[in-house]
Amino acid sequence: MSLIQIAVVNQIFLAAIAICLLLVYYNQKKYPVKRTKRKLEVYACGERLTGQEMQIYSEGFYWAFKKTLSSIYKQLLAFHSGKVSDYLTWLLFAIVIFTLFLIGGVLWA
Amino acid sequence: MAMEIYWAIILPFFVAFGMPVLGHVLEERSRARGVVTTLAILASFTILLASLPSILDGKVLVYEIGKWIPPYGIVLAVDAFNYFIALIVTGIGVAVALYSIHHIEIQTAVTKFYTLLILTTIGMLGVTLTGDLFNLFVFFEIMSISSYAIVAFRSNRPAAIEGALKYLLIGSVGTSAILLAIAFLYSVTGTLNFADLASKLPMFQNSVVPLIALALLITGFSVKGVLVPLHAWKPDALVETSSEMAGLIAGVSSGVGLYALFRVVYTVFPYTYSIAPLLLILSVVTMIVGGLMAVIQTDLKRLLAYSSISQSGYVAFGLSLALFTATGVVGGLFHIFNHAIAKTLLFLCVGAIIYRTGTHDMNKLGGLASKMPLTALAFVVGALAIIGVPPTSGFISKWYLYVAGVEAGMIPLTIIAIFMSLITFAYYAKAINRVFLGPRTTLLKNHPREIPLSMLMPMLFFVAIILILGLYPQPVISIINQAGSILSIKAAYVTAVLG
Repeated sequence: MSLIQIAVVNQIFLAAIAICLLLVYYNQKKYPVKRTKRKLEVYACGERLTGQEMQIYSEGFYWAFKKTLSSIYKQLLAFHSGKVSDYLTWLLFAIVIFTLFLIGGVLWA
Repeated sequence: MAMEIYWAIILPFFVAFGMPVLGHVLEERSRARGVVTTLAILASFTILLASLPSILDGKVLVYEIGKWIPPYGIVLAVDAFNYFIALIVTGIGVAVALYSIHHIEIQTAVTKFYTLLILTTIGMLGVTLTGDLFNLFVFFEIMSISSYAIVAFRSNRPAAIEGALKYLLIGSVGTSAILLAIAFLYSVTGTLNFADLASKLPMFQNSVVPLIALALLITGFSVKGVLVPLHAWKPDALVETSSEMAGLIAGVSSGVGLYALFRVVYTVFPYTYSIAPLLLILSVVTMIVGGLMAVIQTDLKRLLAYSSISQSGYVAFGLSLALFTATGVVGGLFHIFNHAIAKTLLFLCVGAIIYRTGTHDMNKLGGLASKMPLTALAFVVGALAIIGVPPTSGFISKWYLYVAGVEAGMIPLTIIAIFMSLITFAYYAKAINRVFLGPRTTLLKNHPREIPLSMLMPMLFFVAIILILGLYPQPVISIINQAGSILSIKAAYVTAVLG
């Protein structure tokens, strides 16, 4: 890819950002919003919630994604057990696999 | 007259060994030690920079230490492939030292910290520049041992000791594998010089010993280059490391580990195409595992550590594709650069957050953008660079990686790489949302405000570099382009060293 193509993509992206900012600016000018305290309050089922209560906890982010991939995550978390003996076993396993792969690869070639 | 490149290693070495004396003289002045460290690494960077015209002319610079001719003596051999990495190591070393001048005041044992910082940088620089396997091992150990000590630096925290012990044990087995490989290779060929090995190893194609040595070398370097399944030490090690050093270890040392891996694989060994599938599988698995693990993290440093693992996968992906297309070399090297800068920047931002709030737990943070706007801006730019959004330097490196994937005909792997960039976006969006947006949490004891200028300066410098090179990448591309294709790198290297 030439550097000219990179420059074109960059310019399109920057132009898009500039247009968005201009639209926001124009919109705020034409339809100014008065941010009163009541307007900024959050209601849920008749309850007033503070901003902090509205923040999603880190664990809650992408819960659907995590649930969908729960079986993969189970394996991954088991792999990242935090035990040095497990990690060293993987290291030895890697040496064996790499050696077999290389010998196999060279013989096959 | 320009100084020889080996002064870039020797000069900071003197400063590192003189640091305890300096620390004794400047007992109360921690900043002076920081300034001396910054100047020492800056001198190293400047010495390297003086060789830029020769590298841009496509030359391979060979320095025979003590005038002993290769393969008998120690040589430093510098081509565009390793010159670029050496510039990254010293450039980021300068920024980290500068940042620590203010940050270090909250720590104890300042002299030891700066000695270890210089030794880590020298170790990485030595790994990059050396032209023989045994010196590579020696510098690798200097880099590793000083970084084990840095991880254990806050010895009053059990997690720091635990992380350092894990790093030490796994790292030691990794470097033992490298030493064993060196012994195997020497027993077969009688030499350890890269160029000499490259000319002699084709004669031993029927022997299984070089293959075992190669497997051991890939394992040893993959521990530092954090390729799955040898990556697990990293998150535990980085959580309690000071942020600036975590940046250096996460951003730069993994790049150096991968450089060593690919230098040895491509320059020394003759089985290049037999290795390609293994390296491609490792790189893609690393991308996926690192990315998926980053999504579920609640600790900012752990998230960055897993992100670093995922990005190492991208670097390995590019350099593996280098076998099929020269664009792979550009993508891989540019991504080492981009990842080093952006990840160091992100860790410096975390350092700033800890400096003002005392925590890196995302659940305890929130709404910092209004109180620390420049730190928030730096974090967002760093995250965009890692994701690969224009107009950051990350866009250029990722684009080259995807183009290399398509040129090499690895469409499914390229699609996986693009998909993992979306996952990268997902976990950085979460981090930005939790730490900088929303209302300021009441869980924080302190009232956060922007950090001092000396800490802010390196961060803003990195932001500027990321944006400038995103819009005008020509300076970096012109250095990388001198590396050319993998086969031309090997031919030029061997010819220059052996004559």
